[in-house]
Amino acid sequence: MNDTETFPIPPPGEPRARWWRTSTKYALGLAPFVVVWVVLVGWLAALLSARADWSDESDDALVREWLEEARPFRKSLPEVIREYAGRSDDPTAAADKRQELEEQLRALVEPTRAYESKLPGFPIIYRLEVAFPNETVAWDNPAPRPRQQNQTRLREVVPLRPVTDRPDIEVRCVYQMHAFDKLRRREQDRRQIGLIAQGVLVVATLLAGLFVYRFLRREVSRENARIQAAAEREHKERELLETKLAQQEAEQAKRELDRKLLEQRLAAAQLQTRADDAEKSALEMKSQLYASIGIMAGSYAHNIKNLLVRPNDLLHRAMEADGLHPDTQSMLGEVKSTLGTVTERLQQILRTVRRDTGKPELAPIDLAAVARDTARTWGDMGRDKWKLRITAVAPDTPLVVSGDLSHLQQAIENLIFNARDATFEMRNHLREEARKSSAEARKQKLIDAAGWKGEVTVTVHADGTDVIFEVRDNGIGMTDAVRRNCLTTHFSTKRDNAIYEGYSAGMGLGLSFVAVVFEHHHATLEIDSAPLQGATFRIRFPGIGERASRAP
Amino acid sequence: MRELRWLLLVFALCLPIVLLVAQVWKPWAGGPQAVPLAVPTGDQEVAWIHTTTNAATWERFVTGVVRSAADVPGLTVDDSKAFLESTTAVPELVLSRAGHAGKLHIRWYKLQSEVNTADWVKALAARTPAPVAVIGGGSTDRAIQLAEAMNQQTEWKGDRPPLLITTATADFDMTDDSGGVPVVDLYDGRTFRFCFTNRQMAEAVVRFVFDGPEARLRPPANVRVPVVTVSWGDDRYSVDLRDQFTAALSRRFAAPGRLAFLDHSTIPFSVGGYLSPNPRERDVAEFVADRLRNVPDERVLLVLPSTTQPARRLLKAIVEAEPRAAGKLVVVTGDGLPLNTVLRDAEFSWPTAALPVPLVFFAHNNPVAWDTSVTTAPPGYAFRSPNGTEEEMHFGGLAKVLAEACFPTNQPTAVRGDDLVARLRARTDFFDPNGERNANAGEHVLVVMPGRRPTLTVWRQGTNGGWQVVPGTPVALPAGREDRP
Repeated sequence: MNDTETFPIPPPGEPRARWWRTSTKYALGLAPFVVVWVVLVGWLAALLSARADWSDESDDALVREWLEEARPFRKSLPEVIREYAGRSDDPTAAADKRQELEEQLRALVEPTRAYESKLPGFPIIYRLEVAFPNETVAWDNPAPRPRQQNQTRLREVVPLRPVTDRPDIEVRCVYQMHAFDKLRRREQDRRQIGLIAQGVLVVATLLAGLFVYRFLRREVSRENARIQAAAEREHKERELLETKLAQQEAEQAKRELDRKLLEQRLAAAQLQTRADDAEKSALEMKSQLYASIGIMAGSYAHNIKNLLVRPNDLLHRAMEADGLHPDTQSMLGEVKSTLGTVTERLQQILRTVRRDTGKPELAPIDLAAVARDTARTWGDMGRDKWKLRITAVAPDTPLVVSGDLSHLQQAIENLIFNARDATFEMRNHLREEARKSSAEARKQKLIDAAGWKGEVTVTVHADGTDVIFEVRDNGIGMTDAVRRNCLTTHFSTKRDNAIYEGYSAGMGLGLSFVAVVFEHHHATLEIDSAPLQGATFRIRFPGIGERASRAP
Repeated sequence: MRELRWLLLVFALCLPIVLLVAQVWKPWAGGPQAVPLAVPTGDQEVAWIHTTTNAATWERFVTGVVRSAADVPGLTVDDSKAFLESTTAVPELVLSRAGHAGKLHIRWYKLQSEVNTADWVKALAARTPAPVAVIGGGSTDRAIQLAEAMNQQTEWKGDRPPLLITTATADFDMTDDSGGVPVVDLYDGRTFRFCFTNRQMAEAVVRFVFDGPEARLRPPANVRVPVVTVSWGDDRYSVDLRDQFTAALSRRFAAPGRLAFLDHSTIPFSVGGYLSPNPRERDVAEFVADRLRNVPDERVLLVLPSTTQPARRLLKAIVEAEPRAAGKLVVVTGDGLPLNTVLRDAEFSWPTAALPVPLVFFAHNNPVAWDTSVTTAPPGYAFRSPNGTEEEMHFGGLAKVLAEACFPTNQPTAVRGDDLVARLRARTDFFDPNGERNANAGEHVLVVMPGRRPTLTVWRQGTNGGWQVVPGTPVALPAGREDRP
């Protein structure tokens, strides 16, 4: 099928009009054959009719042949007529020729008169005449003409052939043949049969036409149905094809969109990379800034520490002075304690800013005391500012490990801060969940969320020769993915979190620092956590004796 | 355009049917035409031109040809196509002879009112090859027409064929006033007549009547012989035969006073009823009867040169007009009366009771050559009494001469008309230099003697001039009953 060829689907409705157009088309196509068939059938019917009337034609032929060929004496009637027509002007000769012609007519008729009604095939001649332009030579039978009932058997034959050279001369013969003959009776029977045959022929033709009509109608219907089915099939195929084409176009568009999306993602990734790079640069700059700040803080701390030498000295002298009022003595003691604390803090700052994690200064450290100090140091702030309770569970007996106290304190504080942040997220989650609940339950849930307390527990216990240091919270918890990546440098879940907006959080350095610190202490870190189930950071420190064996 | 094409197709299909039904158009040329049959390669044809209504003549011709095979050694006649079912077809006989190449087809080309002699001659002349001979001339008129047509036809696809005249006996064509032209000279040098001429017939009959063995016919010696002649002016045969009888009688009775011509009557036309004469015949009959009444004691010789019907009508009219004429008349004529007229069909055709007049007429051959019960004739071709055998014997003789000329012994087959002409001309035993049949060679005279026991006797002239009764005759004729229409 040509690509450009289409099968228009016949419009619904108008089936009769469509059938009529198709039938007309077929009828016009068959019309020539029908016409030829009708003509042939008509000819055949005419031949049948003529066959039934054959005796009349045969009688005429016999009489014609008799008139043209019979020679009563040497000459036929046409020859005598021609001689008479070409007679001389001699009156005697002309009279002789006329007599000869009259005798010819009489001689022709005489045998028929002699055997009238005695022999088959003998006609009864009532008049035989030769009509010339100016005269008529005739022989008339003296017998009376047939009466009315036999008039139909009276025939006239005009043979023109004998005088073709003189078309103005005619021979007429009025005759009657077969007063009663069985051939005619048979012809009557044959005529009846012929009529029946013609009737059968006509009926058969009509039936044939009807059958042809029905056949054509059926075939037309089938053809229409076939064409319509083909058109519908074609239409469906075309629709399917169009659908496929549309799908392909959609897929292509999708691919294009994907490509564009990919390009956008790539661009975004590039932007992200650049952002990351920028962030990294910013972090580095921030680190450098922090380093600078540390240096500056160290400088300031050193200066402050140096500045505190004199007040401490003065305070020490003041306190060593006698007569101080006890209250003064108490207040000076408290000042001295505070200054001592400040000095220690400054000392810690100096240690902090002057050392890096890669160069720990190891010393025996009692982790139980560290746990208690941590809880004591951050307990008040946690209770007052962070809305959580920081507790320490540590035995009274020292659990000593080899470590850098400053690094460990920073690492533990990072863990405390992470736990704090997890409780913040848990609380916020509870609030969000309360807001999503139904109105009647929302208030209670909000109250419950507000009443919810964060818990951070620092636990130290011995496990064989190892010392286990745990920091456990009831915060938001972590997914497995977060848990697996939380130690990665610069990995953070807080970076885009609105909770930490305004805090110096989300840099992804805390836990990585913690991991590095613990690694330097040959400790192993285990993290147990699940979403909404809190988290437990479990650090296993080797005992004093074990450290050397675990050293790389 | 497509619909127009269909309409044209329908029109083209229906138009011939309509024209056929209306008989406006006939693809088969609309009527009889002269269309000769093709001649197979190596074969030759002899055209037998005869009227279509005389099928009996063709049958007699076939009989004669078939029987002639016994007279020519090695001659074979194939008659399988001689009698065809369709009367419009062209029948033929096929002759062949052992030792000769080719066959000879003798075909009957039928004369009709639509197709005359000239039409056939033109058609035959236009066909290749031309026939080696044309047979025709069943009557003098036909012979003259045929001879004139062939004489006018000078262009043939081959040699001009010879004309073989069968039974036309007139010596002269008396059409014009030039005194007559010999019929054999109309197609000069190529015409051969197989029958005796009127002159030969008249001389034979006169010789038989006055010098023959039948004394009852002869007038007393040294008495006047009254003669009445009648002829029919529209019949050249009749006129010529009357003249030949007159001449023969004049020669026989050259002495002055012996011959008395009482009347020479000419009837202008021959057509008439079966028994009733036409008006002019009645006039002549009354005139002759009147003359007979004036010669009561003499036997009058009535020369009646005609065929059966005119002769019968006139004779009956004379007898009715003068009943005593029967005892006074001796009727002589030529070959116009066949044997069948006076023997086989005598009861109605020539009833001796109604025509009680001695009748002497002529036959070209033995009319009573009936076969015996043991015969060698081919099946279906035996001669049986009372049918006359004259024509069959005559045609047999023609076929014998033709076969011997076409297939001559120790000579090649004649393939050209000139060959045939030369060989026929060499048949001096049969033809004279003019192509006429030799006289005194087989003339037969038949005598009907009326009376209570009418008889028919056939005489044959011998080579010595004497007359011999043909075996089987005399035969008795039907008598005393006039059973006629």
